[in-house]
Amino acid sequence: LTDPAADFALGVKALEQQNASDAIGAFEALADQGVIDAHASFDRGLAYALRVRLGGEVPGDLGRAVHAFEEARDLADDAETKEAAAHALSILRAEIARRRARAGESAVVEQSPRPDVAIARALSEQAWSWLAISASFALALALAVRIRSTTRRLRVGATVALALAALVLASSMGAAALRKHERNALEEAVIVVPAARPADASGLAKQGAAPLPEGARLEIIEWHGGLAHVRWGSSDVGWLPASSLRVLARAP
Amino acid sequence: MVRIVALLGALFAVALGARNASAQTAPEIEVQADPVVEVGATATVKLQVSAQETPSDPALTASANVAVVGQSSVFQMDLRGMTSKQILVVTFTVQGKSIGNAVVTPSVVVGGRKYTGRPTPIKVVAAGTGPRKPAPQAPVFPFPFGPGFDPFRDLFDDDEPSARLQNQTPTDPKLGLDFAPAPIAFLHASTDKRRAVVGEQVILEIDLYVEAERPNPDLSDSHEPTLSRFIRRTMIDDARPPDVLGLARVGGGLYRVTRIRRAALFPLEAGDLEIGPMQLTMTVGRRAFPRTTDPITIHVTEPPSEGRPTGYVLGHVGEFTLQAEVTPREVKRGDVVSVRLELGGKGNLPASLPTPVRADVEWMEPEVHDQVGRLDVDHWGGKRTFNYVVRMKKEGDIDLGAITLPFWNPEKHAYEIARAELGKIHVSPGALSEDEQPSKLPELPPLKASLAGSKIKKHIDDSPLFWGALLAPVAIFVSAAGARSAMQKTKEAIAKRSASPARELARRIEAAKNACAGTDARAADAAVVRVLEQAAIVKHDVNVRGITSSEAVRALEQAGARTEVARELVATIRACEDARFSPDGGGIDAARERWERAQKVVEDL
Repeated sequence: LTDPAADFALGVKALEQQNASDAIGAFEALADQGVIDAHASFDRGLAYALRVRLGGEVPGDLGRAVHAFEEARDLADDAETKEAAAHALSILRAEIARRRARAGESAVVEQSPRPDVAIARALSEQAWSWLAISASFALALALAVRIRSTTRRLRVGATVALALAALVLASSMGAAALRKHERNALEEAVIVVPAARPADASGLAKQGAAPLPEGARLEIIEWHGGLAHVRWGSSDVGWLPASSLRVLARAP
Repeated sequence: MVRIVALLGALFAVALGARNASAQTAPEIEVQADPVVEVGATATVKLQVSAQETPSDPALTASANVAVVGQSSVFQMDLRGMTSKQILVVTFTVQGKSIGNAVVTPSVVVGGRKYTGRPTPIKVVAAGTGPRKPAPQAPVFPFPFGPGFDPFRDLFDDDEPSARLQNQTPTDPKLGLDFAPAPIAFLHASTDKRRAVVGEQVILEIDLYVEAERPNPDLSDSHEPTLSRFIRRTMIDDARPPDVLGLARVGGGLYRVTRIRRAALFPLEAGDLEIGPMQLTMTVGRRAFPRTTDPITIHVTEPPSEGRPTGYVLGHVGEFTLQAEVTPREVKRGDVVSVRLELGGKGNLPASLPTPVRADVEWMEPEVHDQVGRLDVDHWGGKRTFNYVVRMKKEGDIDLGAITLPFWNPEKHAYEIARAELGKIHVSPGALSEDEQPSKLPELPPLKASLAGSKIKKHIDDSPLFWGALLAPVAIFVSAAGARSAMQKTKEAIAKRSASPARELARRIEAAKNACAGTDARAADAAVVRVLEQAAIVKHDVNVRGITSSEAVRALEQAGARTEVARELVATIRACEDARFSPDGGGIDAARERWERAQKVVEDL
């Protein structure tokens, strides 16, 4: 089967029939063909979640479902799919946290990124770009008023506007550059095993390091052999086996 | 001679290979065994096989009251007669376990066929009641059939055995090498292929080459080849004495070749995967030397994505079959059925099977039984049985569906699917309540019924226009401010240039000409006076305005003007002012005359 639409239709039909195995097979076949599509990823997440719901869970299914919904959220252009994927992610991560808490492990399944990265991710790259352009116009206008005006109050107001516009211009340009770098170079992955224990560069388990939870979204720093050097949130947690991760596809 | 040797074997004219009977003579198999062994003691069973092709895989099956506890083999060539023969002599060691009559039956593989020797009886007696054995003698040449047996006794001159061996011994060209990487003995590793797909079997063989006239070295400190990116399955028993393959020519020399490792490797990932070197230490006499094999790189790819069936798992490569047995077919709700799946075939059998997941059926973890090993000389495989317990949670005729295992068949270069239909189970009402459904996840959002379609997103900051738009406002402002400043500077420069004394003088001369062309005598005189005052400034930098006539003359003289010219300038000014302030103004004609005087003064200054 090489027709993506046919594979997708097979997967949808299997999902409708509550046949999780066939649905997973069809959507994974799509992924194997290199099809990058928000809805295909979304339905793949549903297929793995269905297998969990039906009691036929294979270890790592929750992580694979999280991976698929993260991918769908990243790839989607429409707000509805983004919101649906985010809702599914909250359900799945709550389930992972519940299981970890029951097993006496930390219920933390998400980590916040560095503050600057979090701020940059608050808006899209496009939004930051337009904001930078607007700030540039505001800066020019404030400069003109500041120089031409003879009224003292107007000159003070223009000076304040000048400072604000310069600040917004610098920060929005920085955020746009960060988002562009992420778009071009950032590689992220999701843990698709029940727990992944960090190791050092030689693959030996780190003493005292807690296993990372299933479904955690990580940033890949580098690959070496069968290991991936990863960052979780703002922490460099070490190396994980490549087999415990699934890389998130990026939009073309 | 206390040792009792009974010649029990006979030559087996094995006619099983009728197809090649005319071209191949059946091997001669000879068996000797100690007829009596005490319980706990050991006896030997010696098997000699003489054949045109290389004998291999000798084995001995024995009754329950004796056990095979050891085995050693010697390989030699017999060059007597018209055709050469390869002779394999194997000595099995058996141990008596319980009193009684035992039967041992040796077997050997020649030319791909298995030949069986005559079953030979051994009597097991109580400890201390058996015959006494002679003291062991160190064998000069390891032929196990006693000092009188030597298949080479007529072949070589005593003084030149090596040369005869070199010249006349037939060798196996498949074992030949261009050169020997090390003297005396070395290791050689080879594979049956250098390209494979992930999960495809690759045979690795490691042979020991020893110069033919030297004894086998002792092997120690063995380090197996590193195979971290492969699954390794041993195709020969590493603990068993190695098989002597025959003689080979290596760089003009004659070597005895013994196979010490043979394994089926299954690549775990795509890429150039390295089979690391095997290392060991060889000892000949008092001399020990290390030897290693060269590393081998296998280029591993994934099977083609084109035509890949749904559900294919990377690494499932081989030739598999799947059979299912489901019992019983009628149960009550909440009861279980047994599903027995038998997966068989060649290749690295998958460790798990994808079971159909349905809301009304619960599959428990299977119990797995393996009968996996060497299928034949070149293939690993066997059978793996998965016994599932399946709980039926809903009444009705429940279709269990089918188990499918897609795999890549490397011999056919095509994907195939092993499939087993499980059929239907009739589930009658039972005790399981509906709320026993294991679902814990809340409802997820509805599925997406169509592909979203891929749109290539354009980003404004990828365009050079972005930087233009970003910099344009400030650039425009800076440009405008700069232009404005430049204009101001230009104007000032122009104004400065226009205010110079010479330019003022010219301007005043022009004004005087215009005034004299008119009818206003006072205006003309005033213009003439301004010309003369400016001329004094321009020519001698003397301002004659506001000073007396004599002071003006003196100042001009001091500045370098001639006296008469200075006096004429002052006089002309005085005449013009007198006329200006006279009641009638002096008349325009007189004013024009004064202008002419003034022009002359300006020239003479």
